[in-house]
Amino acid sequence: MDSILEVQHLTKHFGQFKAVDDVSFSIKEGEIVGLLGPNGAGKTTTIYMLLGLVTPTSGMITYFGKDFSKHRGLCLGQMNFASAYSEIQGRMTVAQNFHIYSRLYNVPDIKERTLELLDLLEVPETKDKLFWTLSSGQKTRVILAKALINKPRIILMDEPTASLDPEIAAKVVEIVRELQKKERVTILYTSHNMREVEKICDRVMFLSHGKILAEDTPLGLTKRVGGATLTLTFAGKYLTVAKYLKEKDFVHTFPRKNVVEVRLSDEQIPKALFGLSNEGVWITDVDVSKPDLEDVFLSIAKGAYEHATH
Amino acid sequence: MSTRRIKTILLHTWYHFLHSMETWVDVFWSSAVNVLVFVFIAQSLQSGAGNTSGISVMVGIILWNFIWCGQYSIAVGALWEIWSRSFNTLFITPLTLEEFLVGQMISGIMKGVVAAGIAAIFVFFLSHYSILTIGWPLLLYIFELIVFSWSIGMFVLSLIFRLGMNVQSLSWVIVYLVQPFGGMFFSVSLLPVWVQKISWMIPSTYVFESIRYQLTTGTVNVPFMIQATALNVGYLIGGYVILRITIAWAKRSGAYAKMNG
Repeated sequence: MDSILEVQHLTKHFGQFKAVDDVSFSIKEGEIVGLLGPNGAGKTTTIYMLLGLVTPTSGMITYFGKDFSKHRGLCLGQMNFASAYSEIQGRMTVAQNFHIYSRLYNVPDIKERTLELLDLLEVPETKDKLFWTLSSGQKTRVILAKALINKPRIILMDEPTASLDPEIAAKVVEIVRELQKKERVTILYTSHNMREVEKICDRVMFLSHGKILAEDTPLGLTKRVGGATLTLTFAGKYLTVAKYLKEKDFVHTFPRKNVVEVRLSDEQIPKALFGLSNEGVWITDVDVSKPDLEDVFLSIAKGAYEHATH
Repeated sequence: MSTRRIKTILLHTWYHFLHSMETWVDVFWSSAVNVLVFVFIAQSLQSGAGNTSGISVMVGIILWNFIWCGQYSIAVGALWEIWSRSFNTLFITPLTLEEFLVGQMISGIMKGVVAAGIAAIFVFFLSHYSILTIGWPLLLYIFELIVFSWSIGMFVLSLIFRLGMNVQSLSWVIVYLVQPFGGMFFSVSLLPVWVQKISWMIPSTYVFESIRYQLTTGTVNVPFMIQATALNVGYLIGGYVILRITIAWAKRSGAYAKMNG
C-alpha cells in the first residue's frame, strides 16, 4: 500500500515551548490511525500543521508524494477535515453550504452529491435548514458529510464527537467506521475517548509532551501493559485473604467489604484463585478485566509525566 | 488564482446576505438614514447661486457608500466566517487568500453600487440633484474611492489577525475617520493646519477636493487625481503586504488557527 501522508521530523515551537517535538509517522491508504494524548500533548497543533493553519518550525509534510508547503492547493483538494470545533457558515442552509464547498473543491453533480451524503449520514431533513439551527448531533453529522464532499483520499478528524452525548457519539463512531468501509477513505483521528479509538482505529500513536511515545495496533499496545485485574468477591476471612496476597506479593486493594482487586499477570490468575481456595476462602464471584487503551494511555501519560518532572 | 473559486466567494456572500438581516441593516439602512440627514443639512447649506457646498455634501454621502461597502466586505466578510466558526473550514479548501479578497472586493463593488444607487435616488427625489450630472469622471472618482476602501479593509483585517477579536469593532469604526479627515463633506482648508497634513495623506481627500473643484469649475483636477492614484497604489500594495505579513505571523504564532470563534 502507498503512503498517503508522510510526516518527517515535524517540530513546532511557540517561543520556548515545544508543542510538537520531532514527530515522524506515515499513514497508508485505507488506514484509520488514532492520535491520542492528554491535553496539551500536541495533537491539535499537529493536525493544524497538517492542514496548513499553523506553520511548522521545521520538518516536512508530504501528501500523496507531494510536498504540502509547495503544493497546498493540490493537497487540500484531495483531503478534508472534520472537528467538533470547526463548523460551516451558520447563516446559510446546509444545501447552500454544500454548494459553496462543492464549488471550492470543484465537485461535479453538486445536488446529487449533497443528497447522497446527507442520506448516508442520515440527516436528509437538514438540507434546507440554516446550519446554526441544527442540534449538536445533526451538526456533527453534517460536518462529517461536508468532510466527504470532495471524495477525499484522507480526512483529518479532530475530536469529532467531543460535544456529543454518549449515544449520539457511539452512532457517529459507527458511521465513521461504515464510511471508511464504503468510501475506502484514510482517516487520522484524534480523540480523548479511548473506547472510541479502540473501536475504529487500525493503529494508534500516543503523543505526550509533543513526542510520539508509542505506536502500535490497539491490541499491541494493550499487550505492552500486560496483566489483568482480578476482582474477587469472597465470604468472610478478610485477614486470610489479606495475609495470603501479601505473602505472595500481589498488588491488591480492598475497594469494598469482601471485595478485593488484584493486579497480576495472566499466568498468576489460576495460582491466585487456587491458592485462596486452598486457604479456605469461599470465593463467590470472579471477574477478570484485561487492560484497555485507557490503561495504556494512563500508563504512558504517567510515565511521560514522571520523565518530564525528573 | 481561480475564477471559479472567486465566483464561489461571491455566491457565498449572496447566500449569506439572504439570511443576514444585520448585513442588510449595515449596508442599506444606515445608508438610507444618512442620506435623509445629510440631504437636509445640504439643503440648508445650499443658498445662493454658485454655492456648491450643499451639493458636495450630497455627493459625499452618496459616494461614502463605496468606501463603506468596500472595506465592510473585506473586514466584516472575514468576521462573519470567524463568528460562525467556519473561517478554518473555508481556508482548508484550495481557496487562497487572494481569491477570497478578490471575491470580497467584487462583492463590495456590488453592494456599493446598490447602496449608492439607493442613496442617489433618495437625493434626487428629496433635492432634485442628480449625481449623474458629474458625468464620466464619476466613474474615476468611484474607482479611486473603492480602491482606497480595499486598503482600509485589508488594514483592519491585519489588525484583527494581529491583535485578536478584541479589536473586531474596528471594522465599523476606522473607516469613519475618512469622514472628518478624508475631505468628504467640506474643504480640507477648513481644517486646522496639523489636521490638513493628515488629510493630504488620504486618497479620498484628493478625490473629494477634485469633485468640489469640478462642481465649481466644470473640469477635473487632474493633478489631484494623479496624487490620489499614486497614494492608492501605495496603500493597496502596502495593505496587501501588511495583511500577508500578519497572516504569516498568525500562522507561526498559532493565532490564525484560533480565528475560529
